[in-house]
Amino acid sequence: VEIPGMQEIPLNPAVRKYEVRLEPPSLEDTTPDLGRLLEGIERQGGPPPNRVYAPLGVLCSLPQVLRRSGWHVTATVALVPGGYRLSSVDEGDTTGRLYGAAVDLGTTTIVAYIRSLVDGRILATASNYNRQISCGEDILSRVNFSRRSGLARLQQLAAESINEALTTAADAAGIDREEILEVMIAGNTVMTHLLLGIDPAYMIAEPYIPVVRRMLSTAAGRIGIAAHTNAGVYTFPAVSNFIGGDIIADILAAGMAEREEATLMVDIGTNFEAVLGNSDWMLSCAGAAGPALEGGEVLFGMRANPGAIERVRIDPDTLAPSVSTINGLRPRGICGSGLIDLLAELFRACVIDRTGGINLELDHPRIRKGQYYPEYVVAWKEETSIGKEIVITENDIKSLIMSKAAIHAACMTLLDAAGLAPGDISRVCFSGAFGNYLNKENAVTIGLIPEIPPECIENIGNGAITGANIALVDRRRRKELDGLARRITYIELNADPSFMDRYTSSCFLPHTDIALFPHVQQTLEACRAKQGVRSWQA
Amino acid sequence: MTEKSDERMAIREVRLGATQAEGGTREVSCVIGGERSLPFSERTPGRLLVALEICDDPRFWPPVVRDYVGDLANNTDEWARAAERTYGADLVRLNFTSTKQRGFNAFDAIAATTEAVLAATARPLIVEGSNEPELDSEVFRRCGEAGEGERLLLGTAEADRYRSVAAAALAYGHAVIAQSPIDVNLAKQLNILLRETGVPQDRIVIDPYTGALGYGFEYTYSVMERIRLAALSGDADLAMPMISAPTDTLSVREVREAAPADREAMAVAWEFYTAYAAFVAGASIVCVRHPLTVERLKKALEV
Amino acid sequence: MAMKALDIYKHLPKTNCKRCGYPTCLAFAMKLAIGKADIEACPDLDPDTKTLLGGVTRPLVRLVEVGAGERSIAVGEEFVLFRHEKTFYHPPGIMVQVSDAWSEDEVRSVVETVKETVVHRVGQDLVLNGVAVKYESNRPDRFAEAVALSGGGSSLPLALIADDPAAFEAALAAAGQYRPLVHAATEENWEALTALAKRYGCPLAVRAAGPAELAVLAVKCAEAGVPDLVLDPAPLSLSDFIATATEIRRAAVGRTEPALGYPLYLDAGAFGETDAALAAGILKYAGIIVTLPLSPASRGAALTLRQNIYTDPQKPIQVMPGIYPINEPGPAAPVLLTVNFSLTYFTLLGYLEASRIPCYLFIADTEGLSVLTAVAGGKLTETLVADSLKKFGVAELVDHRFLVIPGYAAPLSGKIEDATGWKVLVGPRDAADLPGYLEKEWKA
Ligand code: B12
Ligand code: SF4
Repeated sequence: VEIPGMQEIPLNPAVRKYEVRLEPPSLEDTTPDLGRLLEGIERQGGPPPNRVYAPLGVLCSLPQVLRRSGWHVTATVALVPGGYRLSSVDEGDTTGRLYGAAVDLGTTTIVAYIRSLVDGRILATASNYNRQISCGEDILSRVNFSRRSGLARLQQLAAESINEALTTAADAAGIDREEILEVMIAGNTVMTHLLLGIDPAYMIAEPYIPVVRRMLSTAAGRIGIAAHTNAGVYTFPAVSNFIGGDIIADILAAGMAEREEATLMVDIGTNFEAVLGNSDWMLSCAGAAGPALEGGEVLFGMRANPGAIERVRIDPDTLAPSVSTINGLRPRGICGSGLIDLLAELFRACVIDRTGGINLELDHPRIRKGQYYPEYVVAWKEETSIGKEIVITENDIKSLIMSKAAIHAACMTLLDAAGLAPGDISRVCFSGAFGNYLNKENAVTIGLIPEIPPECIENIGNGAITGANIALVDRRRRKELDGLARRITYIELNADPSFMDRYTSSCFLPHTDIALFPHVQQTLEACRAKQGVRSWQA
Repeated sequence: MTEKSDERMAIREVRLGATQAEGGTREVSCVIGGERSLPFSERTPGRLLVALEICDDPRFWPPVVRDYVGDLANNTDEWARAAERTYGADLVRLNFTSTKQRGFNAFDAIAATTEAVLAATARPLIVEGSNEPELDSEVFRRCGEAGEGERLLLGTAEADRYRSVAAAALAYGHAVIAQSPIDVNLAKQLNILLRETGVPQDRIVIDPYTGALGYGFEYTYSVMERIRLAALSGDADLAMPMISAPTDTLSVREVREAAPADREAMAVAWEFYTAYAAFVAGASIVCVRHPLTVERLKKALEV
Repeated sequence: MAMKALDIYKHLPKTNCKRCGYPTCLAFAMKLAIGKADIEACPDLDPDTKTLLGGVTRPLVRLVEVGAGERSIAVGEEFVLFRHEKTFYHPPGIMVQVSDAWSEDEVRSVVETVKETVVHRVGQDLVLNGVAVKYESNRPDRFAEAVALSGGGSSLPLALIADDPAAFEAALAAAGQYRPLVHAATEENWEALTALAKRYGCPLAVRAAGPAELAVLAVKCAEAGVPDLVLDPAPLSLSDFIATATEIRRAAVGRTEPALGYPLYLDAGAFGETDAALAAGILKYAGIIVTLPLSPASRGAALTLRQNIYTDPQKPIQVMPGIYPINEPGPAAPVLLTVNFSLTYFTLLGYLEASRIPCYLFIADTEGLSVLTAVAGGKLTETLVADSLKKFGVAELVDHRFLVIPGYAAPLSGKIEDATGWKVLVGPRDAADLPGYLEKEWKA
């Protein structure tokens, strides 16, 4: 099966269909319908009857289905924890129609893939907003909403959001939602609790205790998921309340547990998670980077939507910027990747010093004392589509630096805990939407991640949905997920006194310990030399 | 940290004050720094200096000192002369507390006071410039210009306020005090910023900010030890001598609320213990405000 | 040599069975690597792995107890050369010296002062720890009387300072069973003094010039059956003490000279600069400091310095919660709520002092977390604000009931009003805008 960003993996789903032609019962052969069917399945290579559990709903319709079809049926048998489940029985031969869904249950957006579990092909994908947004922008506010007797509402909204994506994808794939017989859902710990209606209240205050962190499975009908009512719904296991199923899915997508050399994976959002490890050991941590890297808290920051400046270069001599926006529209604001380019370019052009302070002694129309903070004009009024100038202020720059510092400090905490130096990592993976448009060179220039050659920096995109796909089509990898989650050692950054040391030393471009960024230092000295004395003097 | 002392880097030497021969009017100039090992383990005389702080507007000065110096507080140059001649200070640190007044613009007075204090003193001078970011460039230019050639120690540069004091130091040949809020990394960052604005590294003195005894002093003490250790193990951006000024020591509760008869003794004891501990942590200069503390510190340093 | 976490991990069973109290073997390995876990905690290790990973578990600096009963002092058992590397554990015992040549009243008044002195700071009671009786009368019976006058060791720990075994014979007869410190065994008298110390089971100070001789003498005394030793390096000057004490402590924690693994002794009166010596002793590894009688001011400052230096630096850098008056505020001055994260305190202090606006900085205990972190982490709550208002008696300081809270704590404004009954004004998010805000908005 072809998984984006992964080498081919074997199609080995946990649910299979068996076409069975049965001898009708007679006075000599008075085996009950279920037994007869299960023996037929066993003859087709299926599991032994005594290991198969049949839900009541299937038994209720079994007698008519067997007789109407002339004892020629297709049984769907799913491998479930502790045995097998007879999920459905169809008349005639439906072995060609066996579908599964992989779902990324994100805090803000839901993504669903529908695949055929017969040949593994992707049939359709869909994505839509998580309707829970109406109950709160972020995790914190939603858990507070659930504490005010809103848990059932949030559970319902989670299911509805998933169903919306499943419906859109099923229609596009030309299949009926009832034909989806397995759903693999990757979501962070709070989202998983909310989807299953489990109270997450004790996860947002010390000591941050989730109710469960194992992989859980239930029937779709039980939690209102619009697939076949007996379809198995599996949620990813978690490490802690901060390292949820989405991160385990990221690890699966990055193939970290299958490599000897150490990989560092970072999932950047308002909250970030980082994992370092290989097949033998794995360390993880999570913390708050702040929304600045995604455009939040920044005067003209915005999400990566059309009209957002996503790439910036600044001419070191004229200090004039050249920008490109998403869909090439006139700029409305600056998104995460644009902000990182801006930070790196302003730094190279010596417009800002290493703490992000704008050098007001530079005599240049784009550099001025703004209303509250010094600022650099990125786009003049007539160039923008919002009828006013787009600027980046010193305060924005400092927020960006504080956010990148939290992430870099977390990465260094993992490296120090493992006793490794930045040079010992063979690969850095960005996961999450953040990594898609990111300029890797600039990410290193501002010290967002430890210095590593750009070709060793990969972007696995939405690792959560990729991991969900992998677990959907390969039951061996799915079975190993619980063991993987249990093996990961979580480092509580708040309890690590030296974290603040690393954080403060990372509040500098690229870093206070310049020796950690030799390549960046060389290119900087080259820029400064090229610019002659101008910036040096002022 | 390698033990072999020869391998260790030395703390940079910073020259303060200029004698006639060196283009200034001081009777004596000083050199601080140059150590190759932990404080008090090598005996080079004249490298640990006690400064007495004075100001040009006593309204913003601790009452316990105002009571002691009396009228001296009202003429800065006399106060400066007494600091050296009567109280035995190695250095005088002149604070322009007048800049704290709202709407301050007496820039000419800044130059005049600097010149008057220079005329009244024979030893190197530390000048603590304005308290207000907006006034920085003008105040530093004036006192920098008035002290040209005297190799003053100009304070204070901070991470988001260093360009004016750096410019004045560069233009008029002075050294700079670089202050950071009790953090090794922030201290190093400011030194890098100053270096990248052109300030030579042998004209930077680190002020790690001194919390008062009982109110966070232990954080200062450990940061100073870490700075000294980093410098000795080769970190060039931290290999500068340090200055410590426990300025809010005389406004702590123990001094404020002491019975009038004990207040002076409490003030001197609180300043003495903080200042002496700062020397043990690696300070080359410690600034105190009560005249009686000066003599006691100098005697303690000879033992 | 310190093994790295991953090296240690290789030797562990990797079953993640949690019996060691850690979620995974790697978590246990990481704590072992920084000396914060005990190898014995893992039941599944064979003996050789245990010795390999355990290393020397003998404390680097021996714990020595002086005196008996409630006010006994335990010094030593230290692990680092600099407090920032981990922390210092056992603050030095400060003992005030009396002479047996003094009058009874003089001795009694010192003993009384030592017993009564208590300085309350940050929830702790800081005390002087004992009395040192110096033999100057050349009459052993007089020495014994002075020892008895000093409580005989039953109430306050004692140090006996002499070099003539006969004097010690007499003094120990009176106070021997209360573990007084016998100062000091030298190259000349160590046989006699070790015999005495061994007979009474009390700690013995060993005195010799410099680390090398001290090590030799210490070994002799230990082998003579006196395990609890304290080292007096007989410094020529205070600087000499600082340098030598550092060398001795480095040798002990660096394991280069185990024979120096004992607490240190300093006579603070030896150089005529008692305050400086007290400070030097507190800062540089002294376990027992004998001092001349101190003024109240010196006492307060010395005990505070000892408290500061022996606090654990690993806790997040916090400032003391409470009310901080800035620019001499009166009853009409504004009350500004903030957190006790030091970075926040210093940031705010800078702007407020520069603003010259009289105000009260009301610092709640958020265990060192910044405003946003404390709000998000559930540490800054309306209950904390309400309790802290009462605890710090804010209502008595001002005649208004307005509380200015940080902009980033805006979500809590309603709850804080309900919980405290004060009117809440939401200040700006950034401290830089606070002075301007107060000038405009604050009309008490
Ligand atoms: C470093 C950091 C941490 C460190 C802790 C550092 C510390 N001691 O607080 C660590 C890693 C431990 C941490 C943990 C967490 N953090 Co955090 N953290 C930060 C970070 C990057 C910097 C915080 C900082 O140093 N601020 C600097 C100080 C000076 O700011 P301050 O205290 O707010 O003070 C300023 C203003 O508030 C104002 N002010 C202060 N007092 C007053 C008083 C008055 C009257 C007025 C008018 C103004 C005023 O002036 C000051 C200077 O401007 C911020 C992001 C950011 N850009 O701020 C996130 C941030 C604060 N953290 C956040 C979060 C969510 C958390 C966690 C809950 C994350 C998690 N899931 O674990 C945990 C909570 C831990 C816990 N157990 O409680 C969020 C909060 C978001 C929100 N919705 O509130 C932030 C904003 C990041 C983000 N946007 O997601 N964090
Ligand atoms: S007790 Fe031993 S085997 Fe079990 S988790 Fe701890 S270190 Fe691993």
